[in-house]
Amino acid sequence: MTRLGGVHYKQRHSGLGGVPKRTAPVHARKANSGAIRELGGGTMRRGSVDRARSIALAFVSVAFALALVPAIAAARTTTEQPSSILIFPKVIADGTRDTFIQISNTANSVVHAHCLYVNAYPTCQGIGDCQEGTCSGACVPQWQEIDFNIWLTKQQPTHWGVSFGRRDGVAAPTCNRDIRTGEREYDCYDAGLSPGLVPPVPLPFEGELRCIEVDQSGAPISGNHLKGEATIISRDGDASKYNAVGILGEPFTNNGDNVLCLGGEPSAECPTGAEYQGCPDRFWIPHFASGADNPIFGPTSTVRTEFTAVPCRVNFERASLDPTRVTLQFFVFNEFEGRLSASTQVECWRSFFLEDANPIFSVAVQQTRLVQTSVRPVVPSSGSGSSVAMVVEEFHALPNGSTARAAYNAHERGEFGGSEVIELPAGP
Amino acid sequence: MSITCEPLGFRPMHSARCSRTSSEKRSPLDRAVGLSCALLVGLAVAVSPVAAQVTSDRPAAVLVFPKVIVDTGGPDGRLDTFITISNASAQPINVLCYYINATERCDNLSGACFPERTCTGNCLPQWQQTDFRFRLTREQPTGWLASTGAGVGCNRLGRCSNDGTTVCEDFQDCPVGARCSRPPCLPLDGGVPGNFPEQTNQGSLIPPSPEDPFIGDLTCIAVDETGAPVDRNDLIGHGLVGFIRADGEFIDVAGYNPIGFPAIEGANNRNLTLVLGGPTGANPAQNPADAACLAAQPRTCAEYEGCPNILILDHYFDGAVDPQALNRCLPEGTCAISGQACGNDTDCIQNVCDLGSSTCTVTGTVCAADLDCQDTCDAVTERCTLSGQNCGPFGSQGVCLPTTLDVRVVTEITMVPCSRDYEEGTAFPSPGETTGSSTTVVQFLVFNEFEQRLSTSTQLTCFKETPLWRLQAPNDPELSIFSVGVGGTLTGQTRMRGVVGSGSGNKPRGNALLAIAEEFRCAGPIWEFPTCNFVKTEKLVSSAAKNVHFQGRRPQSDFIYLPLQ
Repeated sequence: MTRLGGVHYKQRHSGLGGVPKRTAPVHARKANSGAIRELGGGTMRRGSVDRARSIALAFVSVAFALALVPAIAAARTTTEQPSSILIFPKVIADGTRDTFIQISNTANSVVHAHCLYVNAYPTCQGIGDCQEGTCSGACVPQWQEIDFNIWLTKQQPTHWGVSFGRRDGVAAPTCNRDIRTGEREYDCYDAGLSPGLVPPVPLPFEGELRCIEVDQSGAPISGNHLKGEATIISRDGDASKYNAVGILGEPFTNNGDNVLCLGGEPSAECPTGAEYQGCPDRFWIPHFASGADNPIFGPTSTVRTEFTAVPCRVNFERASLDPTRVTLQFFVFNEFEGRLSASTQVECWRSFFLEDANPIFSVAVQQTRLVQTSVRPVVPSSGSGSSVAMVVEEFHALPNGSTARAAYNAHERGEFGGSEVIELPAGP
Repeated sequence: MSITCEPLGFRPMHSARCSRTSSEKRSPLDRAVGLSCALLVGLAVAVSPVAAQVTSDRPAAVLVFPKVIVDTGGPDGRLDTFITISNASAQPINVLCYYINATERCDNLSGACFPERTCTGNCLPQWQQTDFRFRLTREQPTGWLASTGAGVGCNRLGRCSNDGTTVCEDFQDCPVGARCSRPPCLPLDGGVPGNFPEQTNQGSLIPPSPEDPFIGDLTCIAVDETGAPVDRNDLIGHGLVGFIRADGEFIDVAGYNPIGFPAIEGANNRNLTLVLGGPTGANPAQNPADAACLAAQPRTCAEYEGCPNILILDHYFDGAVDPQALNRCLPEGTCAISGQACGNDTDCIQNVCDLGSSTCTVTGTVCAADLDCQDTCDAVTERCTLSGQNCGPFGSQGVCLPTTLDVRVVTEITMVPCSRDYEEGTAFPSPGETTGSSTTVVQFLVFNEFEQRLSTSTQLTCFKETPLWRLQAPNDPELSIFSVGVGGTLTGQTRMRGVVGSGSGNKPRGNALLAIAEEFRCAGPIWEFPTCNFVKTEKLVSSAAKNVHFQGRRPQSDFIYLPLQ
């Protein structure tokens, strides 16, 4: 198969320094034709070569058809299966909260991953501080990207705190309890095989983390070996946890270049079609109306819900210059089956309390404790839209200041119409 | 020339081997065909793991909430579960649900078994089922407290949110800015205004949990008007466990998504045996299992997606110190976690005597002065005064452990079998029995961050909720393979698998299982193993629940047997 274009092409043009994907068809076709002719060493009759090629192509066509049928049937992101791309939509390290990342390899061989943070924390274009609301000018998100590589041995789990990262190659003491003396060493953050240098993020940080399974050379592969979760811990020890949104890699269509194609048909941008399954067409999220009470805690309690959305499509080379913009359309159903709608914009990354996006989410408008929100990314007329990855977090509070949080993954349905791409930065 | 893969019969088959001798050279044709065959086989293998299976992030036809817990009258506070289910379609849907009561009862009535065990005899689970039905109109969400349930028609009075005591019927009865908080209910008792008689919650009744305190699971199935299962993947849910301390000064929540079984469109024969996974009947000529499921009367081909072969849980090792939960002194002069007054960080972690309550701030032991809160070696008993550690010449030689405060993590897992029999109560094990048709042996493989592997197993009968450490070393948590002192690293990956054919009983099943996990953060000194949870809340700092990951699926089916309606 290496001579038929796919892998051979990937070996030549893979890695973070690979050439743009749109050159792929030419190279691939040349590789194909040259390869078939070379097979016979010049002694084979042309008819046989053509027949071989025809049959091979027929098989390949059937194979790709086979690959596509179940893929389309099952196409979606996932929060419960090992995947090739992990998206942690909500990563916070702002002094009041920090995030603990866990990623593990579910395979029996070494797995590499290329990870990228995007810091969406706004900077003040004036005097003051955006976090404290004292900025005299505009608060402009940074869209600052930080990348690093990790590698995991078979079935190895790893972890790091976002604000302090993880050192590389540190011979840290293992967690240990001395049976004889009772001495305990349970504060053992660095124990274990080092996954590589994980840099601490610049504080304050809010944004996303994306990890992409790659081979040793850094070329993306569709291994589906990674799983992950994030724990957001506030300084009072309260924790909420969600699973990373995973994007499943498609077998055999991944050409290993820097343009990762999520869903969709072959196009100029994605000549081999979908290399990964597509992002969802819509989300279904049952939640408390904003300001409603949690009956466990009584009528004076309140619940606020925060959605965090990050576009699946992203250009890491031009993230700060060309952030992806998505319009999210909401249909909100209350317990009376009443329906209201609203929309909001997400640029690159956004985390927002529902009542801040639109008052229709409030209990005063809905008049019921629970609502169900259908979230649909709008496909623009230009056709190059994007779906999003989402996570939901509930904030429960009492009038006396007691608080608690719970995060969970959104339910999704369908596949976003059209191809989305993740463009990785070119290597050295 | 020896190539076996000739699916189109293009060339005669020369050999049954898939290899060639070194002297043979492959022609381009052979190579191309061979490569294509390999591609096809590879695809068959590679694509299958991606195929659909149970899910916690898509609408489904069957929802399983593995953990429902209630204790509204506990001395420490109120514990309850808020169940949310919604209809993600534009058509009304009927839902048939079953609680399984796994609350243990004391066989000699000498005390309680749950949440605190005061029984001097044996604690036996009940495995009692309670069924109920409700109806959701199009896109309607609903929710109820497990302790109270919900009915149709919201005619029960509520309380105004401004004070929590003023009785109200609706928002107008409360001051401006306040809302009327009524008990959970299904509001559409008379249908939707207009000509939509089918858009009604009439006939719905959600009972309270079978008892209080209660622990068990909840399964909800999409059915039609007659009660027959339907292949509608329109149900979404959420489970929220909440605890409020009696003084109202502390609340905590942990939420998870129920695990859903998507129905396979057109495969449901609408009988009372729900077939989860296994042979689909799609290829009877090639697959004997497909032929067998088609030939069975009634058919036993898969009607719903199957359970996963392996569950994967990433977790802190039990007892690990959370590196991010630090009891620091905040600028406002209070400790971040304990809330006590402080001047610096040391004030927040040292075990000193709180003269107001006469207890040590970290260990909670009785004290008259700070010296009583130091763990010192008693020369007579050769034991440390607080930790009880051996500090004699054969122990730590006079040195006792520090009593500073750490926040440590313990993980609890709740497991339920995929197969369940609501038809025959006898299919569940009788009280005192350890096996039944819902009994499964569960294998655990535990990997630490050194890639080292440890293993253990346990028996699962109907329902099991346990801290990880108790699975392997119930008498000494620090010796468990799930303990951080044994695991050696902060986090680990545990793979769980129900062993096929490990149970008994007269009904077949695939022995797969479902699970959710909860993380609890507990404050205390380093020598006190964390055991806090929702019913032992004294040292509880916070909790978080999560869904586990799935991998693969198995060829055997699991079954849900429903009783005649």
